[in-house]
Amino acid sequence: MDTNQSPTSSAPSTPRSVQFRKEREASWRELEDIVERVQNKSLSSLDDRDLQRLPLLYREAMNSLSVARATALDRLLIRYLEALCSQSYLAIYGARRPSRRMLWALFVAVPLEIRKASRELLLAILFFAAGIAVAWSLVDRDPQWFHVFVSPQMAAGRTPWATTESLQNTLYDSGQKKGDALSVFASFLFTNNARVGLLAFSLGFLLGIPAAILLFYNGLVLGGFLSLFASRGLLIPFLGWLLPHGVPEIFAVLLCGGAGFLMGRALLLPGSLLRTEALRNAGLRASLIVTGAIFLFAYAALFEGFFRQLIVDDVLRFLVALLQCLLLLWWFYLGQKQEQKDLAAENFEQETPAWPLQADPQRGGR
Amino acid sequence: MRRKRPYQSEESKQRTVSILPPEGVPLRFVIAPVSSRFSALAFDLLLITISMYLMVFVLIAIFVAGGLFKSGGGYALSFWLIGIFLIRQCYFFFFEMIWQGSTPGKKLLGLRVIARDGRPLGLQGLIARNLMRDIEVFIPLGLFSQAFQMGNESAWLSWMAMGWCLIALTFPFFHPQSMRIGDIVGGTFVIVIPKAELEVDKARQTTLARKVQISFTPEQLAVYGEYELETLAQLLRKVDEDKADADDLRIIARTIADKIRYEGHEPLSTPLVFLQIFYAAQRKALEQKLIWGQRKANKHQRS
Repeated sequence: MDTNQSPTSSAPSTPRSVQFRKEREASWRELEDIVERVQNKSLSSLDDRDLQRLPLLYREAMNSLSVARATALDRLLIRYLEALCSQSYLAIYGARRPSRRMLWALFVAVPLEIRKASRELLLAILFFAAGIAVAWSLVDRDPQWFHVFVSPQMAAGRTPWATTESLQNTLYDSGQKKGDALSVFASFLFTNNARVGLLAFSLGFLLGIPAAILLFYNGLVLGGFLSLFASRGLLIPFLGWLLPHGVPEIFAVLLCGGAGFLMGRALLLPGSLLRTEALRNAGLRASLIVTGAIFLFAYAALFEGFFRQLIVDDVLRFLVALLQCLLLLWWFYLGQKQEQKDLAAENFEQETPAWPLQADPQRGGR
Repeated sequence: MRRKRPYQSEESKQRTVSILPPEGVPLRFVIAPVSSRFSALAFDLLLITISMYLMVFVLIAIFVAGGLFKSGGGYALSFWLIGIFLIRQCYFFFFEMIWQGSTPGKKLLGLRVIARDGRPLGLQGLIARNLMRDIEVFIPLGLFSQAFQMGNESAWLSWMAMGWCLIALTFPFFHPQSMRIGDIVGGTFVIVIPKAELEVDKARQTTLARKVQISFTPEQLAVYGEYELETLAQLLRKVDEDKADADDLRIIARTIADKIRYEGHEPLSTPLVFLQIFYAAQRKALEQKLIWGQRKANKHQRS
């Protein structure tokens, strides 16, 4: 280093960083002001001029921070710039208010995620079917088993000791209940089912075991009933009673179980990813599936609460069940169409503006 | 192994996470401590409870006013059932969505949620982190009663779930970045919202200092390093807050003068002015070297 350049400096010596700060302080202050307004309200509260200035000022501040880190020895200055840049970063990249388009994208993204999780869904179906098979065969052999699988409240008189006529009546009970009682029933069904479904997802974290238990248990209950009604030759009417609301409801149960398996697999077999990263990927996917399942639960409960007792004809019931299947298929079709649209858009743009750099979260903590 | 610097102690206690924005300059965020997260949660739960009671009163008021209770009491009950479900599941999600990742409780304590990968906080992440909240907060609250109440075939399931919830509840205490399970699954961090305050630079001399002519030779300025410079800056900040003792200043000024072999009366007569000018000169010299890529971390390092 050439020490002759600035030897014994003239008395009130000012370091470079002081000059550096003097030149840029005004623009920092301006950024500070804009960012504060964004924090208190939102990005959309800015006027056009400020909106235009924000990214420019932000880049300038980022530049200042990077220079200051390398050349300034004023800790307070660096700390200030770090805070300012962090604030502006959060204001610009932080969170966005969802628009209607985003909600629609979410809606059509659900069936896509379900399709991607078809392996987990298959596993869920397997556990559910195993539950049905076990309960059916056991109850078939010895009706005593029925009580093991179905609690008395749930059975509500539908036991192996009931007469065939009374069983038949439960299927065609044309609804002497009033509208408000039905609405309580529907909302209770919804909140209860949705909570159990959410539990299957969130406990799926536990290697998916709770999800498996939930599916198997639900299968047992259904199997018990199936066996009971089949033994009286009422299988077809029972299915007609069950399927109109059962199609969305059972599908939702399977979805929740599948979401649980998704989480469990991420924890058990994260592959080449870190477990935290694998869990995050699975969590983002599973949360979409569960959201879809909650809406299905709500739909099914509405249907079960209000419409089931109004339709008493077997053929009509099966037609409604078919309609439910078609609706589900239509939903999947929408998802597929959106996927094709996205693919086409991607090909058209050639280079999608990707996030250039990824921070390594593991390096961050000290 | 670097020596732990005393003036960093306040910072090193905080856990930080660095995120790389597209501009390529890494930013550090302070991770919210578990204590303030629990306070925020408590405040939010209080609000939830209040809003649930409010809902009951409003429903009763509406149905009484409308004379609907005889015919439509069931509807009131079903509104209540659905309302509780919605408040419980959507309170956090809703506020974090519209308030840039803050609920009322978080805002009160200056916290917010950000995405771990530095991208904008997406809806999916918010849904995931708040679905997990169910097993971390709400289910444990309800499970105790359930486990005893049911007393039938589902009780063992409740107990099992409760054991799991205990793990979930205590998780943030053991996690190095004090994440809760919902944060892991949703890919989020909860951070302290940074506050930017620019203070007066210590290297800008006061008018008094400007009148005094003190100069140092390059050799004198080559003694100390960045560590000593920052310690001195802290001392000068203390002077501004009137926390420094005049005797201490004199002793420090003399120690410095001895060490760098400065011969003059200033360290004894006007120690503060001497220290201020020395700080400016020292910083200028060190920053000059920094531009040439030479860092001098402390006085033990040979430059």
